[in-house]
Amino acid sequence: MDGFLVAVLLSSWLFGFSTLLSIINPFGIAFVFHDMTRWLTARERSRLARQIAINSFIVLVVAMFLGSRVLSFFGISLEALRIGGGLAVAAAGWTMLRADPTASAAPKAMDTAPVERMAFFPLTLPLTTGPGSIAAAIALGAERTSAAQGALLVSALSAVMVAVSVAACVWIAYAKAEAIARRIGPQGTMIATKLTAFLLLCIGVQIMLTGVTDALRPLIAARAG
Amino acid sequence: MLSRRLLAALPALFVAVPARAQQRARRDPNPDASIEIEQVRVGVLALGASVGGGRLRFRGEEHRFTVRGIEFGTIGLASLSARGEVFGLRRLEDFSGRYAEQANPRYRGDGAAGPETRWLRNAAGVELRLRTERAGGQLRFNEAGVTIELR
Repeated sequence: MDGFLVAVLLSSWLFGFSTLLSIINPFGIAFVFHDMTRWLTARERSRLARQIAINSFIVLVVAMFLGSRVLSFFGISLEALRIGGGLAVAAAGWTMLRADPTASAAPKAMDTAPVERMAFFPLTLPLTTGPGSIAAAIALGAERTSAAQGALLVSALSAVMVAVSVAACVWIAYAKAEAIARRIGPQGTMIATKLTAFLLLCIGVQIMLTGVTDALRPLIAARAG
Repeated sequence: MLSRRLLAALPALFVAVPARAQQRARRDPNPDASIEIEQVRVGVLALGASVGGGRLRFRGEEHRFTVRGIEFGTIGLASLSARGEVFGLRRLEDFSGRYAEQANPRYRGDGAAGPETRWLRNAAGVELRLRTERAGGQLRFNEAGVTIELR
């Protein structure tokens, strides 16, 4: 592999990893994960963190490789996905922001659900890889602009690398959630959770804004022309 | 009288036709080839290492090239993706060489330039129009110019 393809690989990975990491924000969501699983033992929580990381990898890879095909099958534009996904992310952030920090009762479904089942819903989807990150993953998968020989293979390789590295961050953040929460205390955890919730709300609004801007651009250009 | 005026106007006609043709050639927006450049740099200020290169598509064939003299990113990991067109390229051999940035390019096409569009020209008269897509930091060209070598 020559320098050009290595640079394409690293550049795509860098862009995809930073984009998805800022949207998924595993180190911030780890506080929410810890809050939702506080009745589990440390061993169970560690096992759950690994399972969520594997699930997140699968969701991201499927979104990056098949997402645009599924969208085109249903006739959904990327702009529509961004507006819908952004709305869902913003709504999740708003709910977290407004939640009463003193209410410590866990959701009823979580009390009886086996660890394996809660690993996918709600902890992987929508908490970790929500509509926003799926929309971003689909957009990353669709962004294969280089026409150079071998670039398609490199692009596929970088997509797998992005999913692996994001999943690894999810695993580390969730597995260490208890240690981080213990270190910063309940007050610090509450502040971190609220800050994360506010960030999630802003990310959702930004995704919606991008979708609306992209959808309106041809109309504005037609009017200006 | 009329014939005398015609005779007087003839030199002006001969001068005007090439000038107009030259003007048309200058504004010719049709490129001869296209290029892609990808670079990734890791480092702090002047210290660092980079990996990258480029692809030239000329007359249906793809050629690899190395590029030196493009500076971007100051701290940490930065990447540069640039696409562009090549003008005035008649022979493949003319592509290699040292390019200097041009403020007034000869081949500027209508509406082709933008704030992120840069022009470079080498001694053989080959001009590059580069558009940066992603650059982790301010893009600069080395004072000594940008050196391109075909592999």
